[in-house]
Amino acid sequence: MLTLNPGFVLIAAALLLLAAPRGLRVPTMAGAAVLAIWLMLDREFGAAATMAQMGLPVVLLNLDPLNRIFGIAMLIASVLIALYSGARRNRFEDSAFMLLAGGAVSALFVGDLVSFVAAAELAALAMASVVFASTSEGAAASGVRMLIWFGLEGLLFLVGSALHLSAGADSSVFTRLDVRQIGDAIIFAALLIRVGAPLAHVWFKDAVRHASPVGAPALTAFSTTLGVYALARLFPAEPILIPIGAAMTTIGLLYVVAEDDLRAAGAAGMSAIVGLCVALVGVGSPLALAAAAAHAFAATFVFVALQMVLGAIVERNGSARLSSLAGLSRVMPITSALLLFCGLATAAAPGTALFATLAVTLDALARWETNWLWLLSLLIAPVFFASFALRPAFAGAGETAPRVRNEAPFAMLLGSAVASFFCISIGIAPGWLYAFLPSEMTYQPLSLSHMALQFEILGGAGLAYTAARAAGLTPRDVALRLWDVDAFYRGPLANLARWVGIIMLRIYGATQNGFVGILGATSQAASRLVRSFDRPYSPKSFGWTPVGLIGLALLVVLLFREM
Amino acid sequence: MSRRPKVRNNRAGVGLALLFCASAALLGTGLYFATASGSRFWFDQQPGALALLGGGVALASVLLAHCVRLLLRRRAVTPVDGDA
Repeated sequence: MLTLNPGFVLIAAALLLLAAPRGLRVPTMAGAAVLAIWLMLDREFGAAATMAQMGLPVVLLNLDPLNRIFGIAMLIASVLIALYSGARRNRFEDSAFMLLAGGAVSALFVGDLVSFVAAAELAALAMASVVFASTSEGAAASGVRMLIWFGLEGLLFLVGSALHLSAGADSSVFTRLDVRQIGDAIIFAALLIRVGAPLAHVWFKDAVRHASPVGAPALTAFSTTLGVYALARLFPAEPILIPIGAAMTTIGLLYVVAEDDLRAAGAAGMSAIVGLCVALVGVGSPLALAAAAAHAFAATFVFVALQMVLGAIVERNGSARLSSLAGLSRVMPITSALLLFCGLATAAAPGTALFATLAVTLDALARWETNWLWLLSLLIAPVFFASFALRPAFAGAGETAPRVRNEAPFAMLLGSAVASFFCISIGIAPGWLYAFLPSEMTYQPLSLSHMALQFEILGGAGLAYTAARAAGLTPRDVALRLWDVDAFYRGPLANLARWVGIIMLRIYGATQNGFVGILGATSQAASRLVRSFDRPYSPKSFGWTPVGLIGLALLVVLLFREM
Repeated sequence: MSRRPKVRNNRAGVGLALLFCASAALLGTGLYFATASGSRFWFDQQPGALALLGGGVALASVLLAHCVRLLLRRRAVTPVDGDA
């Protein structure tokens, strides 16, 4: 039996794509992902053969229920994105996307810390490459900002791993860490950057906003989800994760309601769901951990489908801003219908993937110790319903003549439709998803009581939002950009760095001038001294210098003789 | 005779959305009474409480959107796609 890490197949495919002709690229990407799924499902749980490298055990494949559920989500998402990408010609982006998928999937299945860090950083570099491959304005600067974030993350990973491994080679095993140890705490900080914790949440939105139509779903599927997996693996039941996750959800929701750019709002929505998953990891009960994995799984499909539909709009319209969507439903009816469906899917409407997993989440949090988190998870759905279903629908139904004339390319519609189909298939028949979860569950999310809850809350939210819209109380759909944490590091911090740079340059120049002056004075003095020896027959020095030197020598000799 | 420029209709689709959402809320409330014996937690214990909660959240999201835009809106809006 093959013991190959499924992610390595995707990495090999990424190299092949650089040389493959256009017609073979989609089959290569999809085929590699299908082969990786086969490799994963064909194997029993447990670690493959371990080898030693520089005294450390290297476990390139360790399959268990936790990484299998994340692996299934990522690999199916790879197939969907491969289908979706057939409409454009950019071999570098294809290769970067496959490298990103390969790095992320490899990181899921490795069984030691060093291999995990290597694979996660490969995925990070590939993420930046995906952004660099985009042709949208500002993509290069966004890629550079992303590299800075992941440079910091990589540095933290390296320092944390070195400190952790200093305890001995056995500590390389990829298992639970203790955040009270300094090395483990540094690894924890690196993972917080990866999931987009508060203050580090901006990289994800920035990257998705500037990625190409294909890059945005790829970033959605493979970036923050890997962080959730690593936290569930390394820091389950860590209480600090609960407030961190709740803060991520709150910040995400704030941007979802106010953003004009739907792709950025979609990224903020994904951050909100990832925050809920992080909080569930912090709760740490078996049901909460299963709910975190299931919710991350479902959110991957739902938000990948949403970003695909928005990418199709970007392809035709130039942007997916609410302020530019007026009249869209008349010229892009299929895309508009898919967008409405994806909006309902993000709102966990009954029969969709997130509904099946939200029911598990609510049951995992339905205790008085976590009642505020239960309420927060309940509030996400109505906010998403208003922001991703109703607002785009109202904007698209406007009467202004749109800029576009045609539907999105067929490959894009096909990828979006198949992704939407997955959302429905998980929602209607979630039994297969529950069968793959780490904890065994016999659960009926499509029970009448669960549906009553969701219909009630979504219906109430829809009525209130629609009434507010009819009354003209909702914010106008105008082009705008919002500040985020980047306002600090791109504003005052960048100015401070610029001034520090100027001051340092001046200090350097002054130091250099002073050094040159001292060097000149010293050399002149030395030259004078040498010149004085060079003229032994000059009338003044002839008498006194040799006499003085001989006297000094005699004095030294006499002193040493006395000692 | 010149025609007046068409004013953008801010209410397009409102009727359909109201019908859809009212149906969902009624269905949810109806199902609540039909499944009164099911296990419920906190807000879910009162009939219609979740519909009110949903409505409140939607109105709060409208208010929050105004506040966030007021506080965090960038001064220069053109070009909006250019910078990060």
